[in-house]
Amino acid sequence: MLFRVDRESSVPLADQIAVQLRVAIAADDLAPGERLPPARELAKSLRVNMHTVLRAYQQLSDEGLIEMRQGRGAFVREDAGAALLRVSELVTQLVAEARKLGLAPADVHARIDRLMEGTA
Amino acid sequence: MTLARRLLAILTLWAPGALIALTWLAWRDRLPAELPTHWGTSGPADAVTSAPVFFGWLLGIATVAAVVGSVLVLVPLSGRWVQRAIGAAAGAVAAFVLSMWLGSTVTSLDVSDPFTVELGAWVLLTVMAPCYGLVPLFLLPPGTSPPVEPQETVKIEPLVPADSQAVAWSRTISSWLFIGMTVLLLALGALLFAQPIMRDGIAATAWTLAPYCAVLILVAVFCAYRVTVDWRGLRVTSLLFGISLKRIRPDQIAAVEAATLEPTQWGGWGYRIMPGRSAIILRKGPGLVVTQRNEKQFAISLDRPAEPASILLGLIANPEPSAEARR
Repeated sequence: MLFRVDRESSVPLADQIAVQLRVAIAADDLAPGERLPPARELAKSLRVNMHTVLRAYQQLSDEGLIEMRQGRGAFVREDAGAALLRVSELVTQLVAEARKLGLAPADVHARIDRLMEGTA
Repeated sequence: MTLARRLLAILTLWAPGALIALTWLAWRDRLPAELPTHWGTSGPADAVTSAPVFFGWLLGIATVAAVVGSVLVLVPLSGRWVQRAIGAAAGAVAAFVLSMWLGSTVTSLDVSDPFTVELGAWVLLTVMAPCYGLVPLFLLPPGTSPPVEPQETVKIEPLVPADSQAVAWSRTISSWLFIGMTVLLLALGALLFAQPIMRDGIAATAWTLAPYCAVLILVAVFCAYRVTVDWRGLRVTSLLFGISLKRIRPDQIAAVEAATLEPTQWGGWGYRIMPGRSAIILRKGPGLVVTQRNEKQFAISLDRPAEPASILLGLIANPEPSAEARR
């Protein structure tokens, strides 16, 4: 999967990585059971601190999307789909709120796109 | 020059058979009626074969190897590397047969009872004999196969990140092709080595066990590997012991394409090495083709090659990070 981080963004680097991993899991770009790149490697690739990547992995682990196996790295959970249901619920809530405020779908899309690209 | 080398290579294929015939003529009267043909792990021979029959068989095999090798080396086949491989295989077979012949005859000269003959260090000759195949291999002219034209290439825009941005692409691939091959090899190993190891111990089996283990590791490293593309270029790393399988720096890259990989173009499935190109081909389908500045090509099967290709193209378009990679 493609990772892209922006140091000048107001979104913390760990959050940027976490968002991209969430999107990849939701889009099946990262399949259940698939191993994530080792934190040290990904940190080198993106030229960020390893703890930044570990923080992103921890976020996803807390959300039940991935599991950290001692000494073996991080893996997408087989039941990552269940956690994604929660995302779907949140999206439903978001759509309801947007309608209430009279926001156009394009506005909502643009906001989501900006957040997901880590440039918001 | 090329023809002379080719003829010399053919001569090396016939030499082992000729040596078998010459030694038979020279030693015929000094050899017992039956020659020792099998040894246990230690001590004297435990099986013998009639000398003329043994001679006939070995000379026959060496001649067939030489004839087949000579014909195929002279007939223009699909490529020169095919001819080199055939030459090497024919040479290895002929030399192996010669080593068997020498092991049996030299130890039996002026011996009346072949069951008393010990093989001793001659076993090393048999182990080393296939290396003779390297002689015709190096004598035959090296191939200059034309570069592969990637098929159904997709137009990719280079991804040049802003100064404040960093991009990377990573994918872990598990190959059922290599997992299957590893399981097969393990089963074959258990079948071949379990009994000898239990009977003679692991030290006695080491000679045959070592090349088997080498092949097993060579296949097993491709069961699961990680492909990474970032400012340091393209890297393929096995998840087994973290062995580096391929590394191409950005400043080595001349062209990158996302294409449909046709296994026949790259020499088949699996890890392929040919003169001027190498590839990890898992299936007919999408993949990444990298052409290096030294005109070598590397191809790898990937589900979505467009993303890594765009990063690599971005690195070529904006070569600054490569200097950093070298530091």
